[in-house]
Parts: sequence; structure tokens; C-alpha cells
Amino acid sequence: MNKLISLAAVLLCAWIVAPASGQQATFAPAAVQPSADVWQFRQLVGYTRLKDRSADDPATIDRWETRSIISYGLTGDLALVASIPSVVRVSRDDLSGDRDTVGGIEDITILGQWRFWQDDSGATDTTRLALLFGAEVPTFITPLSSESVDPIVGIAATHITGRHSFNGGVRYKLNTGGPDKRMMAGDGGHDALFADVNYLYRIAPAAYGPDTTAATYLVSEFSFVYETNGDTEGRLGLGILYEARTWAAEVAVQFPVWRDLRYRPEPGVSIVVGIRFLF
Amino acid sequence: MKSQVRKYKTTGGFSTIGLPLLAAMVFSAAACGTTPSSENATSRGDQEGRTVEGSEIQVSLPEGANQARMSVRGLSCPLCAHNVDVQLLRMKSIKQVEVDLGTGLVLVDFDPNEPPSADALARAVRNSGFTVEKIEFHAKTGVNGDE
Repeated sequence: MNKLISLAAVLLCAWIVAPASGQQATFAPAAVQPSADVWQFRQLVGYTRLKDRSADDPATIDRWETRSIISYGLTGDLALVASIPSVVRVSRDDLSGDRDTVGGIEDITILGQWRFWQDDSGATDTTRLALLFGAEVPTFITPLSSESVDPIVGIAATHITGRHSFNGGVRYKLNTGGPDKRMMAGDGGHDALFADVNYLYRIAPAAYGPDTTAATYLVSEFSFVYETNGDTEGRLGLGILYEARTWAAEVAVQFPVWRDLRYRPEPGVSIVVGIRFLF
Repeated sequence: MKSQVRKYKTTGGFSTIGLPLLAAMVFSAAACGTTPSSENATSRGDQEGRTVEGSEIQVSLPEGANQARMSVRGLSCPLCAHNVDVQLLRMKSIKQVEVDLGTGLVLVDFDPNEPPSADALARAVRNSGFTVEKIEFHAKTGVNGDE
């Protein structure tokens, strides 16, 4: 009962407004951001089952996460983004059946996003590039925190033409230290390179008009991560995004496609739902 | 649960479901193709606002002008376009904003006693993250705003 209350408390505490950008896929950044002095809020809730296949201590791990992402436009081209993940993790030893529950706020990511290039070629057509820079800062909540400040630098690109939207990005996370605990990609003591590409197709409306107030997209994403300890992983995401004038809702699933993991459990299928607001 | 580092068995390789899905995604994206842009206009403009080279900005207001018609580029999506509403409605004399995503036409109704300048309108669009191609001022008349 206490664990259920803890789970509910974590999920409720994380149910704060979370930022959102239009035509941005679920799992990866894009070169879109709030305008000057505008807040965007996005809330994601997700579940992943992981398998720890170590010979001496195999386990099944159920991981629930709520992630609150708050963006603020400092200028028309520069935004600040804070990502706050809250996690509940239940590990079940496959041999003994013992269960262990861990919950709390993981390390917080704070990024600047500077759109340094833009070419608006049509009413809705555009190509944009943005530089990402910042760091993951520790919450020192054991055992979820890396307990180190880890700089992040990257670049994101967006190209929208007609009903098609293409996004891509690369981010490098420099892990400066902390305990060598690993659960998810980039959480351990080794540097991580993240690369994402995604494609959104607007299924409705076929064409924008003066009465257009919403749009629906099919979303496909491929996410790749390489860690300097040799762990690599590729995941495919599929989802739907519904976008209105001031809010959007999304649902997506993510599958493992490729993995060579020696130092952390294997994540299986992930399911994520989210909502976005613009103020 | 042990917390020290442990070695895992190597499990490299493609999952049985992931590879066909990835292949399907790649082929379907290639089949959709892209719509080539019809123009190659740049978006770099003056410091007051992002404008298109050769853009038309009407700087003088006709008598009784109470509406600005702007041609804006890069609106992208409904949620993105809402940034235009937010920036323009923050201006003192702006009463109403209508955005046509299909054409990029943005209609801005304002108090004729306190008309905004073209520079201010262009700056607001710039701050919203988009590009202004044209600004014209009109005196909107009639119930439906027809001239």
C-alpha cells in the first residue's frame, strides 16, 4: 500500500505543466521553440520494462516515468528548456522473487536552445537549425542521481514542407563522474552520443485553410545512442500527435531495433503519452 | 538488489520485430518524397525584423486605417502559429488577430487612434519566430470588414 501511495505521489507531483513545441516528435528534440516571453509546457508519462540479464543477478525492472519539460522563450531565437524526470522503478529478482522499489526525481536537464539559422520558404514551409547547450544537474537523490554535473552540447534541425516534417539531431553528453550506476542510456559514468531522426506526416487536414484550428500527424522516429563504454542501442518509435492552436496531445510506442549492451539492463517496449500547452 | 557494476551477457543484434518495422519506415518515408519549395527567398532582413528580400512593407497609413494585412512565412503548424497571436496581441492597440495557415495571411485589427507601426508589427512577427513578406494597411469597413 505504501508503495502504491509513493507511486501515486510521484506521478501527481510531476503532473505540472510541461512545455511543448509544434511538429516535434515524442522522443527527440527539434529546432522549434517558444517565441519571446512565451512559456511552453509539456508533460510526458511513460512505462518501460527492462531486463537485467546478468548471470548472477537477473531481474525484471518496471520503470514508470513522468517527465515535465518547461520551455521559455528569452528572445525570438533563444529559449531555455528544463526537463524534470520523476521515476518509480520496481525491480524483481528473477531467482528469488524479491522486489525492490526506488522512486524520486532523477537528475534535471537544463538546456539553452539557440536557433541560429532559418529559411522560411512558404506559408508553412521552413528549415531551421538550432544549437543545444547546457547540462544535466544532479538532484543527489540516491540511487537515481549520477551526482555529477554533465555538460551537454548538440544540434537540432527541422525541415517542414507541405504535409511532411523531418527532424534530426545529435547530442553529446559528457559524464564528469559520479557513481557508476547504470539503468538508462547515458546515466552511467561514460559519455554518451545521442542521434535522432524522425518524420511526421500530416494526415489531416490535407491542406491548411482559414478555418484550420488543428492538425493530426503520424510520427515515426529512430533514436540511436552510443556510450564510450561500448554500449550501443537503436530504438524505433511510432506515434500519433494531435495539435490544436494552444495545446497538443501525443501517444507513442518505442521498440528496440538494435542493441549491444554489456553494462546496463535491456529496455524493452516503451509506451508514452503526453500533453503540451502554450501560454 | 546488488548495486555494484556487473557484467551482462552480450545481446547485440536486431530484434525480430524492430528490423521489419525500421525497414517499413525507411521505405514509406522514401515513397512519400518531398514537395519541392516553389521559392528560394532568403529570410535575412534588417535588424528591426526578419523580412524577405524584396518584401513589401507599406510604411504610410491611409486615413482611418484599422487593419493590417501581413503575409507571413514559416508558420509551420497550428501550435506554432499561435505564437503570432501571442506576440501581436501583446501590442497596445491590437484588438484581434486572425491567421490563415493556408496562405500565411495574418489580419490584425487595431485601434485607428493608435495605429501600430509597420516596424513594430514586423518586430512582433520576428519575435514570434517567423518571416514577414508583406504588410499593408487598410481601413476595414462594414459588418464583415469588407472594404
